[in-house]
Amino acid sequence: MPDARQLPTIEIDQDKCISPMRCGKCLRVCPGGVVLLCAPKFNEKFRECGPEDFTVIVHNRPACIACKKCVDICPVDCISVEFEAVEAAA
Amino acid sequence: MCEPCDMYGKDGDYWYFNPENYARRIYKWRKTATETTVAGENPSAEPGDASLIGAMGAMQTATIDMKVLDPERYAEQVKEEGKTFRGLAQVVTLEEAQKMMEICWPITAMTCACRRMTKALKDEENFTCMGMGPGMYKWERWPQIYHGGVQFLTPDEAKDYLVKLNKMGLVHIAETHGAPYTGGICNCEMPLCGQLRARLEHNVPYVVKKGHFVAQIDPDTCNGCLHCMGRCHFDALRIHSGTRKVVVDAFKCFGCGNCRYPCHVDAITMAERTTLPTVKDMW
Repeated sequence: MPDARQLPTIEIDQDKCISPMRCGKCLRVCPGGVVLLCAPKFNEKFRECGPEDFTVIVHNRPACIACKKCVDICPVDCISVEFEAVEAAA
Repeated sequence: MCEPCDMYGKDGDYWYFNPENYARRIYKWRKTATETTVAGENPSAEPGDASLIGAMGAMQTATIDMKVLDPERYAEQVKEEGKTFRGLAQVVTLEEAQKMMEICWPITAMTCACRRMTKALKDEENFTCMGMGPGMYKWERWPQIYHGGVQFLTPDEAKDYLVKLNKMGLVHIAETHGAPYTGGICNCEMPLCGQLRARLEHNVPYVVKKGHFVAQIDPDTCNGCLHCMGRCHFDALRIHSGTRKVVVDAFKCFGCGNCRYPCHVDAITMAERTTLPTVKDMW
């Protein structure tokens, strides 16, 4: 994996993000599978968690190409993607 | 020689054709181990088979546990997780998967945990996994990640279902849930599938093993229609533009046999991996 290159900064405002299990627009639009659903106690037996317990997390940041499709599609504007190298080179 | 076949196979056959590996007895044994691990006093102790859920692979397990805290060291951390991963999964062809359906009972279609996580697919659109064995009777007690219900299938229905999934272009992977207990067939794709990504993007070894076959293309029969190219999840097919023939990179081929489906001239055959000296030890 290209560890040396600079990675985009992705931030998700968990307070604004509402019920990603029902929305999931950022997940479907992402070409690299960078964001992912996650919930605590997700993989343990006898630990129930409902649809509201899921959160979107940044999972595979090296795969992000900073296309910012997720930023455009998010209905509550809770994702921000920054890639500083673009400004530095310009 | 294929290592799991040595360990879990019978009469020189592949491990997933050994009926003992589907036995309820192994499942019962694993269940005890699971509950001890989950409810144990020391959660930081080295996890057993079950806490690292077999089907999801090391990469997604790491994420689910929220152990991936440092994105800069992501690839390294995935590899560290992979070292403790004890599951066994191997790519099988459609015919092999159908033969497995004759060995085990009961057989169900179930929802795919990876697609739920990566694309938030609704349960009713998400029946792309197949589960086998007595664990299917108690799906309500599964971890939340597998929730979504089960749909019981007869062996013939299951074979048709596999054909349907194969048409969709999915790779069949024989899964163990605590090796060698064979509990399912994952029907995976890149880049939605956690275990394939762990293997292909992060080189976590043995999350998914390569299958027992390697695709071979007959250059005389191949008409260069390129329909097979879009079916490969492993970047193993390449076009020789000058001759308009497709060639297989045997080092990359996982032997899923997916490329055969759209071939109208039957130019693609599957050769046993052990018959090819250079790739016979690459699993």
